Formats: sequence, C-alpha cells, structure tokens
Amino acid sequence: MFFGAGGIEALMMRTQLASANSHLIGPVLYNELFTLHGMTMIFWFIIPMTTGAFGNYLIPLMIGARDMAFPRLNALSFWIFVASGIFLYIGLFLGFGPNAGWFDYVPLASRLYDPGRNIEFYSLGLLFNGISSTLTAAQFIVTMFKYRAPGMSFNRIPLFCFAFLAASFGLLFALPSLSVDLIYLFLDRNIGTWFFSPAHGGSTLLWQHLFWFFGHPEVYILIVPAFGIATEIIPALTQRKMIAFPLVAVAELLVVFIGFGVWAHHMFTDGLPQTTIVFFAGATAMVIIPSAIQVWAWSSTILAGLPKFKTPLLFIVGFILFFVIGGLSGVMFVAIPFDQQVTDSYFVIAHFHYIIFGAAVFPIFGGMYYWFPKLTGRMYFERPGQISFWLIFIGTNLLFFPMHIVGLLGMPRRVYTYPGGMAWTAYNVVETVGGFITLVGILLCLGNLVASYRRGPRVGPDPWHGPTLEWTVPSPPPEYNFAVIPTVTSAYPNWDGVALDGDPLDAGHEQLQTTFVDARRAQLVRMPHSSPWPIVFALVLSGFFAVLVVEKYGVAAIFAVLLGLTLVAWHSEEPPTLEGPLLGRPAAWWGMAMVIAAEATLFAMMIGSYFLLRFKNIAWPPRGIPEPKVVLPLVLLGVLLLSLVPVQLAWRAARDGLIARARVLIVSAVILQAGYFAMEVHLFDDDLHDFTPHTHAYGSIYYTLLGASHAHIALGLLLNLWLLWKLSRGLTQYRLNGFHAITFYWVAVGAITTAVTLTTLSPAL
Amino acid sequence: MSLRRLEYLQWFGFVAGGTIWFGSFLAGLWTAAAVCNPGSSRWGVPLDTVELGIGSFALACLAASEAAAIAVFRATRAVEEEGPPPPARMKFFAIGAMAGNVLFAMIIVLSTLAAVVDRACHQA
Repeated sequence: MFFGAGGIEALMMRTQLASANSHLIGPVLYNELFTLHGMTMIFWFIIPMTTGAFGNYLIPLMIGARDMAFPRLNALSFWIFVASGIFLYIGLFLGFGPNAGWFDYVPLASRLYDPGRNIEFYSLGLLFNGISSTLTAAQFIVTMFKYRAPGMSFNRIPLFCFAFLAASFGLLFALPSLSVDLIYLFLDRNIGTWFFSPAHGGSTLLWQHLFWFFGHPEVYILIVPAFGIATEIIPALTQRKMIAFPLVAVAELLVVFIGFGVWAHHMFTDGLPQTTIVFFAGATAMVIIPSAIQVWAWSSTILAGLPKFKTPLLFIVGFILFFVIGGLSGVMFVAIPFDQQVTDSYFVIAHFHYIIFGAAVFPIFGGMYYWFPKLTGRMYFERPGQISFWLIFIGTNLLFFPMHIVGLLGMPRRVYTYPGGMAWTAYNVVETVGGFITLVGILLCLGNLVASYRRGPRVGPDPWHGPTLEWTVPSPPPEYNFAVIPTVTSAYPNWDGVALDGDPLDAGHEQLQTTFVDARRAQLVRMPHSSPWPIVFALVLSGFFAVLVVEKYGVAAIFAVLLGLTLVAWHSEEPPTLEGPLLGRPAAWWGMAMVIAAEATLFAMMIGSYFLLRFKNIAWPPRGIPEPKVVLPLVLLGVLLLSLVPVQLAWRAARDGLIARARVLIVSAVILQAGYFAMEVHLFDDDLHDFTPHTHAYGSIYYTLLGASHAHIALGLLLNLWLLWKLSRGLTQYRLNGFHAITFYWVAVGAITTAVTLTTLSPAL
Repeated sequence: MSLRRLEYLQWFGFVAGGTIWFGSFLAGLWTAAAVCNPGSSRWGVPLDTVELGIGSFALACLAASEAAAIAVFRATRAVEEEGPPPPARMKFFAIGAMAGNVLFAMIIVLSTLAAVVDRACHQA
C-alpha cells in the first residue's frame, strides 16, 4: 500500500513535469508530493519491505530458529509501523502533509517559514516510525546472536543474515541521531527553544549534521539487505557457492560501518571549513572498496557458475548494472568541486534513484520471485515474470538516465514547473514515458504473483536446489518452521548436509537459545503466546503522538502514564520457564544491550550537539547566564554511582536465590537514587530562575540534555519499583533475566549520567 | 600459540581497527572543527601537531591490530573456512580483519595528510 502511495506521488510529479509551464499541480501540493514520496519510499516501503518482510520471514528460517527472539516486540514493531503510516497520511488529508523535502532543512522547516502543522506530521511521524525500526533492528540482532541453530558459528552464517545484521546495526546507531534532530525541531517549533536559530546561539548546520549522520548510513541500510538478497539468489541460480565468502561478509559490515564517516559529503556546498570536509572525502573514497569487493564477488560467481537466467537472477543482474552505474555517479561526488556544481540538480536525483530504485528495489522484486515458491508452495509463471523484468528494466533506465543529462543542463530538483526553451522538455518527456513503462512492469509483476498464487504449478520444498536452511522445510513452512532444530556444519547446509537429529521440541513453542559466537546449545526457552498488548500499546502510542500534534501536552502526559500501565499489564503474564542450565547471557540481556546502545548513541548525539554549539559561540555560557555550579552536581554524581554498588550486589544475591537480601539491597539503592533524583530536580528548578530554554541555545541544550538524563533516572527508578513488586511474588527465571537486564541498565545510566554531568559542567571546569 | 591467546588476538584484530579508525576520525574532525570555529579558535589548538599525533597513534594501533589478524590467520591457515569453530571461525574473522584494517589505514593516511596539507578554515 505504501509502495503504491509513493508510486502514485512519483507519477503525479512526472506527469506534471512532462511539459514545460505545466500547472496541473500547484506548488503547494507539489511540495507535499515530493516530500511524501521520499519519506514513504524510504521509511514506509523499503525498510519495512526488506528488514520487515524479508527479514522477519527469512531470518528465522535461514538460521534454523522457530521465531524471532521477542515475538511480541515484533508484533509491536509492526503495529507501530502501520499506525505511523496512517498518522503521516492523515496529515496529508487534513491539509498538513509534510512539505519541506525528505531532509527537511531548517530554516525552511522552521515555524517562521512553515507555520502550519505540516512539519509536526513530519517530525512526529518519523519519530513514531523510528520506534518501530529500532525495535526491529534490536530484535534482528538478538535473534541472530542467540537463536542460530547449533553449529552455525559466525563463519557459517548465511550472507543474507550478515547483510541484515549490518543493516540492523546501522539502524540501531543511525536512528538516534535522527530522533535527536526531530526532537530539537519539535522543541524549536513548539516550545520556543533555539537549537537552529543562529541569532540566538543556535546553528542551522546542526540540523544537517544530525540529519546526515543518520541519512547517509540510511542509504546503506536500504541497499545492504538488497545485497543480502543477491547473495542468496546468485548461488542458488548458478549452483555455485559465493566466491570470497569471508570477504563478502565483512564487506557487508564494512560498507555500513564506514558509512558512518561520510555524512558531510551531503554538505559540501555549506561552506564548511576545507580542513574538516577532507575527513569525509577520504572515507567517501574508501567506502567504494567494500562495495567493489561485492560487485566483483557477485559477477565472478555468476561467471564461474552455471547461471540459469530465470526471473530472480535477471533482477539481480539488473541490480548489479544499476549499482555500478549509480556507484560510478556517486564516486563523482567525492570530487568536491564537481559536487558543488551539481548539488540540488537532477543529477543528484538520477544518482540517488539508480541506487535506491535500481540497487534496492530490483533485488526486492528478484527476492519476491525467488522465495515465492517457499511462501506459497507454487511456482510463479516464468514468461510473464521475464517480461515484467524487461519492462521494469527498460522503464527504469528511461526514467532515471536522462536525469543525469538534464541535471548537467542545469535543471534544479524540486521545481514544480519550468519554462520552455531550456532544452529540458524532451528529456522530461522520456522520463515520464519511462515512469509509466515501469508502472506497467510493476503491475505485471504483481499480477503475475497473484495469478501464480491461485493457479501456479505446485512445487516441492526445494525447487531451486537452494543452499540455505529454508529449503529444507516444507513450502509453505509450518508455523513453527522446524519440527526438529537442525545442526549445521556449513554456510550452505542444504548442499553440504544438515543433521536433523536434534531436539524434537514440543508443540512449536519451545525454542533453543545458543551461544553468541559459536552457537553452542545454551538453554531451552518457551516462547510467548499471542497477546493483545502490542496492539494496545501501539494504539495508546498513536494517541500520544496525535495529541502532541495539537499541542495538548497535559493529555500527552496522561497517554504516557497509560503507556507505562500497558507495559505493566503486558509483563504481568510470564512465559513458563524450562529447566536446563544457561550457557552465556540470556536473550533479555542482549535485548537490553541493544536498548543501551541506542540510548548511548542518542546521548552521544546530544553531547556532540552541545560542543558544536559551543564551538560556534564566542561566549559560553553567554553573558547574563551564570557558569554552572560544580561541587554539588559532582557530589550528587558520586551518590548515584555509589547506588550502583547495591544494585550489583542485589543482582548477585538474587542469582544465588537470596531474595530477602536482594530486596533490601534494591530498597537501599532506590533510596540513594531517589535522593539523587530529588536533588537534581531541585537544582534544575533552581537553574530555571536564572535562565530558561528560551533564553539562548545554551539554555536549550543545557535543559534538554539534563532533562533527558533525569528522565532515564526516573525510568530506572520505576524499573526498580517494578522489580521489587515482582520479587515480592517470588523468583523465577523470567524475573531473574529481567533483574539482570535492569542491573545492566543502571550501569549504563551511571556512565551516561557521568558523561552528561561532565559535559554540562565543562565551561566551569 | 594457545587457543585462548588466539581468541584474544582474533577479537583484537577484528574490533580494534574499526574502533581506532572511528575514534581517530571523530578526534581529528573535532580538532579541525575546534580550530576553525569562532568559539573555540581562541583555545589555540595546534592543528598540525594534534592531527599528526592522532594519525600516527591510530596507525600504530592499526599496525598492531593487523599484526594480530595476521598471526591468527597464520595459525589457522590450514583450517577449512567452513570448518568447525573455534579455529575456522577465527580464520574467518582474521581474513575480514586483514582486509578491513588495510582499508582503515588508508582512510587515516588520506584524512591526516589532507587535514594538514589542505588546512583552510574556509571552503575552497
């Protein structure tokens, strides 16, 4: 549905641009169309389609698991995704569609130039959607770390899973930067802070830095899962193992990792100091190498194998071509003078779409055809499949290639119309024709899949003689995936032999946890049953975001309390614990580790913002604002860090079965932490008498940073109280796992609070 | 070499290179930003010295990380890539680390040299 919406928006724009001086669509609607097109395709189609659909369905099958690590969290992620999409499009139908472009630069997106609620639907819609993506990313990582089949050590993980692991880590570390940016934007527009106002000590570049710290890894997050799809289809349809398996696996990880060091190449025209942007040019030049390694490995495997050019492989060959062309135009941007010439022209649009449509969407089509027999038990119709490929391939090239030329001829992006006599019209006509040919190809593809679902020939479990575990189970797979958890001895277990002499686990709700590195048997766990709470939580969260749009903060606070109560109700039902020794850390600990990683990145971004603003302001704090007090905050920090000792001792006592001792220790920790919190709130209130978040950007970042830190302390206190309540009813493995995770949370809160305190005190140190 | 020692070397070889690159990237970038912004330029940070220091330290660490990866690879050379862990897994990570560390070293050399040579606080 969202792909359809994004596609309709694209075709409306292309129809408008097919002729010069066209006024079919006015500038207001056009602004909303290109903004929504970008947002929808990136956040509501490609990520949910690759990580959400392909990942959710295939990762458990490929690693020999029965389900994802946290099925209810998975359900929550899905419902939040749906609700956030509805939220975004309600904005459009109310006349408040986001309208400042998908990267929403300030000051264009500030209240001064965009006074409606359009930008609130942008910022809150993306924050809302980001929760879903973060949950999914964390869940994928924990699933791949803890639920691999016995024997599937890191050197035997399918390349598809490596790609999804890389994309998940990318999402986990990139999204907090966007979230911080969106929170600043919301606060600037609605509360009166000055993060992005240079006149008040803020910086418009702060938006861009934070956005692109997310935005460039995001490109890799979009295409790396597509790499994973390619690395599955190529071996199956050439009947050859991937050449350079370890290098391809590492290249998938490297491309995302190095992607975090290239963000400012989107800002080469901003007037940044030359000596800073060279750092980004260097990393941008080098990120090509892991991509090139993969292109070489895909091409070599096809050439060295026995390729059958069925529809899925055709889409992968098309993908390789698009990726090379898009990659080559991308390399050109490393040359800073060239980048400055073509920025904001259609050349950028051409490059971007060769990558995003050609390199990310083509493998999605290929994957839909390839796994269709697994999903349905029927084979698709080959001839219409091949015709659909050629239509989409030709249409896409007609659609995007002329954009390079028209961009070099000077046509700027995001113009709703243009005058005749610029030599742009013919190219635009070709692009529009290409767009409609692509549409026909896509409709044929979808129609073929629907017809094949109804009347396609039935096939067995393994029509491709595929290499990975999903081809060892019936098509479609049973709900529990594997009746017997397999033991794996290769990265291509279906080719090299898979042992099915493992545990015939009971009734599908038992699952085997294995160790993180070498996938040794760790513990048998029972997975939870269906629950209404994920959908209830998503509904309440929707209410929370809806009232924020209309600035009803009191009502939003009520919704926040309801969210807390929903979580308590959610966790009131505990899955029964199975006996058996635990090897390594439980999945709950890993889940908490992922939350902490995201939170730590969030704070790192805020601390980074603090210093960026500080560098730009000659007086920090500005005149009229006193320097921060040093002694009392440091003493309080000591108290907080001291409280971590009883927390750790309590966890050890609980692990040894000493519940009474654990409770006493937790109570003592709560007393220290509550004292710390009360004093900090008092200091916060005291500071507000001297200056406010509205005084200067210094006040804005100071209170936001401290407020976020205090919110985490408050959350930790609530978790401790929940733990005390749970412990009063006895100790189970489930509660012990929760205890372990909360202890870990407090260690992280201690580290984060230390960093925040030292940052805010730094002007006086 | 004992398996336990190889295990440490494998993780050091695989994780240290990336960590060092990203750390040096942020430190180098922040130094350049501090030198070129009005609020922090009065701190008098010596750009060349700091950038060269960061770059040299990072390259030394990377050399150690690469040496660790090579040592693990040599110790596990005879093992099949898809063989049973831990030796095959160690070989897998060692191959990845050897490639990745070279890449990180190239980025550090490029960035450090460029930051020192092209030291303009305005855009060209």
